[in-house]
Amino acid sequence: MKTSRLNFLIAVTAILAFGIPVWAHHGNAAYDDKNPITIKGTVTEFAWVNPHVQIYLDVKDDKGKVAHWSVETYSPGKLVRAGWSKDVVKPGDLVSIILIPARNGSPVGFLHKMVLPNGKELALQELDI
Amino acid sequence: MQKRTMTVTWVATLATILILPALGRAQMPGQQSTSAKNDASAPADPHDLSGMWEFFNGVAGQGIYATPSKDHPPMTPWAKAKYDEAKPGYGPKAQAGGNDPILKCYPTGIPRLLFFPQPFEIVQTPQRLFMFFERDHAWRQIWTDGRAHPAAFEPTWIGDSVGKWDGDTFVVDTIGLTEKSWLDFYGDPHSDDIHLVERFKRVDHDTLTLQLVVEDPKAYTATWVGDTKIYKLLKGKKAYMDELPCIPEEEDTFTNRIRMPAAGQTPKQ
Repeated sequence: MKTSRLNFLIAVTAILAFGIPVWAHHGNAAYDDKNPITIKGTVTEFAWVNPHVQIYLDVKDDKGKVAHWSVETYSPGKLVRAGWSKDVVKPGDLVSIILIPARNGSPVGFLHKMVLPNGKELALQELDI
Repeated sequence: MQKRTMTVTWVATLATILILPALGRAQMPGQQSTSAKNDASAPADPHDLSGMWEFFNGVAGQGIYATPSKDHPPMTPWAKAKYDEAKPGYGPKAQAGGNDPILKCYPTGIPRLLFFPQPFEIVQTPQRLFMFFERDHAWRQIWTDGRAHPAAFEPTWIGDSVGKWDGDTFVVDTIGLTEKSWLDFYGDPHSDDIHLVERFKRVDHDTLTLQLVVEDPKAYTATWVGDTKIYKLLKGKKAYMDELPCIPEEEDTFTNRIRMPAAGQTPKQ
């Protein structure tokens, strides 16, 4: 396994083990907040808007089938405090997103963390910036 | 004899040099030195609540952000009927395609503005304490000049608030809140006879606690004492207030693109 991938998995495992409290924060019953997943795909749209910033991406499975994912997260104001900006991603970027998915199985989720093409990680907790 | 005098002189001089800067930094109420700003445990003037405060889930003992507390006293039949009509996006009755008034950009109102993940800023002037909320770019004033509530007050979304100090606790008393607003994210109702009491305490430099009490006999059969909410001071680059306006088209777009698909519903075209 590549070192970078191992590091990523270790990071994810550490996050899951410590159970960052923000995962319990979004009380929206539509999402399965106990079972986060990771998806990896190409950004098709990054909507830096109120009330919630959204990322739309195409995720290809092993068989080459493409799922169109819709991912929401916090408002721009809160994200800027966590180190985001309206230019952090653009269509065409390959990203990984840890999210809690919709309970009904739709390709919709609430983002907890995103890994950018350059390896930089963006989360929701205010980082020490 | 000479040696001792010299020693005493040196000690006295040294002591004076060490003490002087501390005297120079003597704090006026409401002021913080730069180093104190960055030291969470540094003493703060407990009567200085100024700053940008954000509900932060990563804190032990933090209550739920979306409602005064998970449990509440029984509802009266009047309140139960209102609650049954509510279709909230959160809480025990959460569902998509709801009728939460904020989806239509009605004002969030008090106390619900306190239950958002976005911060509020407290500014104190001699006669009033102001709260500026990122959500809705709303604000409220709390009169601290000793006045009472007006005898007649038409209910509004923000209400009429007066505040006073009880030791190191700032006690806010609010009336005149329209029953059109939801008390919280869960669709819990309140009447416009609600009497809301908020107790704020700055427990350390970076921490503000809130305990809320809802007295509303028309809606709840007993006093509803909320859990402890904890707010943390925003500092440095994070210390700014954004505007989170509610734009009907943006809410509708978000509902169609995210809320409804997440609930397995087909958006209206």
